[in-house]
Amino acid sequence: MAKKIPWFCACSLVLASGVALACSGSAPAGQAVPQTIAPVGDGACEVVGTAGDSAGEVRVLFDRRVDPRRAPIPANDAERVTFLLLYPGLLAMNCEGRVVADLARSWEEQAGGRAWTFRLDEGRHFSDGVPLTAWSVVEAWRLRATMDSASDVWKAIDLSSTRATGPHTLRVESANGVRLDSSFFTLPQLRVARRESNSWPVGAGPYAIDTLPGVRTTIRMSPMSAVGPPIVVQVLAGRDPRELLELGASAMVTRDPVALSFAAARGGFEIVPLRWNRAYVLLNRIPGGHGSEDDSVQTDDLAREVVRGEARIVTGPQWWDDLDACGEAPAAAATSSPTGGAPPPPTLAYDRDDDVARALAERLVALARSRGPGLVEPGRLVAWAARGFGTGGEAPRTAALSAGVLARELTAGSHAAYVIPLPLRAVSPCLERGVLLRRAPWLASDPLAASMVPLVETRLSLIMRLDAIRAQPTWDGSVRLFP
Amino acid sequence: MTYRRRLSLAFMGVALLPLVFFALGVRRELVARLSDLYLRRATSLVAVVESDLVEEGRNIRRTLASVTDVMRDDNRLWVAVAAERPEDRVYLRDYAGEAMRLAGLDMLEILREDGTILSSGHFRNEFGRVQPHLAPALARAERGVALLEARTAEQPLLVLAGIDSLALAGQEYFVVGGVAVIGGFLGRLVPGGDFQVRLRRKEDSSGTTEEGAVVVREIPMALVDGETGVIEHAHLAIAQRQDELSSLKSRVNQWFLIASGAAALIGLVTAAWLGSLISKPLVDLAGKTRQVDLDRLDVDFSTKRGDEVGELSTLLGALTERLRASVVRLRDAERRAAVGDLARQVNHDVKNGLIPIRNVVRHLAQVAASDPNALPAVFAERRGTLESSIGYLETLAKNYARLSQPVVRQPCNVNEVIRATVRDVAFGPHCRFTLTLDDREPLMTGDSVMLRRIVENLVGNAVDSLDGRAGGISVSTSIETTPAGDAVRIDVADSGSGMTEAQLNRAFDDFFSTKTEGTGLGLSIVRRLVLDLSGTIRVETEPDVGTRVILSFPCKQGSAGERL
Repeated sequence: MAKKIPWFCACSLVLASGVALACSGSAPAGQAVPQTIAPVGDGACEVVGTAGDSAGEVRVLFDRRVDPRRAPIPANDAERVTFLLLYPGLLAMNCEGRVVADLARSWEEQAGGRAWTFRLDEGRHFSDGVPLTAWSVVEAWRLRATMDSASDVWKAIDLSSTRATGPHTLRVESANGVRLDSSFFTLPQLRVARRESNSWPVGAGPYAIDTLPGVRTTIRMSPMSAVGPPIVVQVLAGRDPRELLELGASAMVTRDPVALSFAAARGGFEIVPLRWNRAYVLLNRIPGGHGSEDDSVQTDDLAREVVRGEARIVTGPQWWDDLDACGEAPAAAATSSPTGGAPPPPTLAYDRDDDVARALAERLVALARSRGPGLVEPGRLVAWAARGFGTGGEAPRTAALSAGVLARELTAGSHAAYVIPLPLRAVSPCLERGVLLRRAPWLASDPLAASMVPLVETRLSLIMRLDAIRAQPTWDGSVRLFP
Repeated sequence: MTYRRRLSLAFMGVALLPLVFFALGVRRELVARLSDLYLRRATSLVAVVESDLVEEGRNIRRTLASVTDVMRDDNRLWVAVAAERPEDRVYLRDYAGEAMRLAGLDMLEILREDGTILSSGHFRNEFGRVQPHLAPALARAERGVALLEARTAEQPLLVLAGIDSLALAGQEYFVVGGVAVIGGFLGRLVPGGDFQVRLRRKEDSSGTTEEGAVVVREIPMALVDGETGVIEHAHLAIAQRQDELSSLKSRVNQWFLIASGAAALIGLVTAAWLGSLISKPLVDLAGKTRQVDLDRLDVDFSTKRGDEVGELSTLLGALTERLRASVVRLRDAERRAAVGDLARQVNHDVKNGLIPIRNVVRHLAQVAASDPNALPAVFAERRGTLESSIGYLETLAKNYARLSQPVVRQPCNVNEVIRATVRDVAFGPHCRFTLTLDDREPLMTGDSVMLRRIVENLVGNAVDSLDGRAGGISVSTSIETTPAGDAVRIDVADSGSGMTEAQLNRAFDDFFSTKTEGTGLGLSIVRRLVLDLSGTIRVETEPDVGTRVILSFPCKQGSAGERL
């Protein structure tokens, strides 16, 4: 259903909302109380697979590279899996969407969520042997806040008041009286990593990096304990995944139907579907592009015939449905506006490396061109295409852009529409909306023209060689590997 | 226009004109040769393209026949199109893409009989679109192939397309496929970038394709509009890039400009050098000639040059020499004439002085003879007349004595003489006197008394010229550099009545005076004294404005700044 986006914003950072707010509460001192954000509850949380020969190595394949410059905040599936092993936070979200202890042994809410006290596990060390202390946590946060000052996360914490009250006791105070929820401390931005110059950040996770810094096709990680084999993250880099699986790769995180069907046909592999984690949406900035309530949703064919691999229509309430709850638009978003008032070209832009976005964009353009006698499908998407796309006499077309260019032109509003993926689940809906508004500020500054139409949602699958590795699906659709 | 400028222009013309003709000729010949070469290549290329189009059409038809054969034998496809099972839809949608890649085509569509696209290889997600006129139009095309602008998600793709059909489960299906024309098989025929091919529609009257390319040949082709089924007569325009030719022209122009610039520069420098070589001696000669004057005949025209300029200089020197001799003779004649005039004047003046005396003497003689007692009284009565006449004669004698004083040559401080002279002059309250003397205390060789007489006369004349009116008199000294060496310059200027040209012409004549009480010998004596001191005298005057007398004497050698 198309959602007209009014003035809204994520900056208030009132993180407890909806179910999260209902289920959250003060935890007694010294006791870890799991808190539910969005329980999955489909019974898919068990650890799958069995550990293999610890003398060998576990080789996991991905189609995107791991960039150490982004650590510990992941930007793709490969980084999501890798950074989870390297950089833990104070708290973590378990596969059911509950907050659990990670580096913190216990935590305590104070002043109605405006202050939190964490007691760290005293036995934890960074991978280089330096003991993990409350002070090192504060230092890591302050450094990251300096490097990423635009993030709303750092506007929620008063870092000047946040301090180590003991070697392993940390008191965190919120900024401007914002109430923080415990789930806030599971955000990747708050993971603890000590950044050394010109090298990988040093984490305190179960694995330590063995590879020199730089964007490489293979990254080797060794377990901090003596148990378990090293894990090698390998990027396909144009190679056929079937060839690498045949050559002994232990696992692959993918949604490539060819690789999945190969693994199914080849035998010796187990295929574990992960949680639905990506929603592809159509961001439209053409006036009149809003659907009416009478329009029926005709996105089934997008999931069935257009997108290759696993896809389904977007179901259930989503974090972007209740955008009004986040209050006023942030200044940065409110001041941005689409370019110059001139109508944008009838182009639908997408990331050229994203096959799902490509298929959806091409289908939408095909529908937009099928007006008149060629109109084959009634429904809201067609109506959107007929009303708002290509009305200037110029044929609608797609624009395949690199990720960097797409990000820039999405912010500028240079095209009539965009197909982009969004995370299906958000620790903080308001934070996620803030990120979205920074990516496309015209959604807030031009609410009468802007609309957002969810198209399909997708998920990854884990191809596991039998008896080679253990893994557990995570709450956000990724996977946690175990030696 | 100066001789030097004329010489420069002549050199430029001589250097540049042949170069211009040469460059234009080379450029024209190059363009003609290259154009002819390109035309021959274009002609042969068109022949190849035409035959390739025919061959490519055959290949497309053969390929489509193979594709339909495979489709006919594909049971899963049969089930997908006949039974329309949802689980086979993806297979159907992907089918055209797979077949297109396998067949080496750039465009492939599988359509139902009614024109609905079931599967598209070049635009996978266009399925469901209905284009009922495409298949019939392609079937009507000559030789079974035609150009078609196939849609893609981004830009249209111009293909040479053919059509085939097959029956599956009792229904007829069309398979439309083709290869890309621009950048496709034609691109392989025109490698290297010299030529390019584009579709030129009827309404497109543009003669050019990309920038720098000109259409050289057009091949008529049928262009099918997939939406309406209309077959349009279009052309494949083969354009020749003009870059190389333009680049060649540009380089020729560039080198021409460089050569022209170099030739112009060399011409200018040579002309300037030659001009200077020829015109400088002439300019020098003109400068020396400009200095020649009756009072300045010592200009040195001697030269070592053996050319025409040297000859001219020698002639001018000889002329000056003759002029100098003439001046001497002229002065001698003038002197003799002056002596004659002087004798007559003396005679006249003496007579004038003696007549009253004779009359008095005769009167006294008559009184002595007739009344001797009255002689003392008469003598007393006539004594004034006698004394007056005697005084007149004494004055005359004094004046004439001044005309022939000997010159005493010794170092003489000009400033000191002038100071002493002007000290005794009574300028009067109405006169504003300015004395500006050179700090270097200039020295000259001469007689200080003569110099004093000169200055005395000139200053006296200046005071007289004011005639009691308010005005200014200035006397100044300076050292000036002349071709003959350093000279002491003395300026005596006044703001008095000045002289007319006629008066000026006679100013140096003896006994000529504009004053009622003047003897007319003042400036004459001054001029003579100046010449005796080897100096020059020049007068600048204007009636009612004033007069400036400029004296110039050779400096005593090495005397500038030297004090006595």
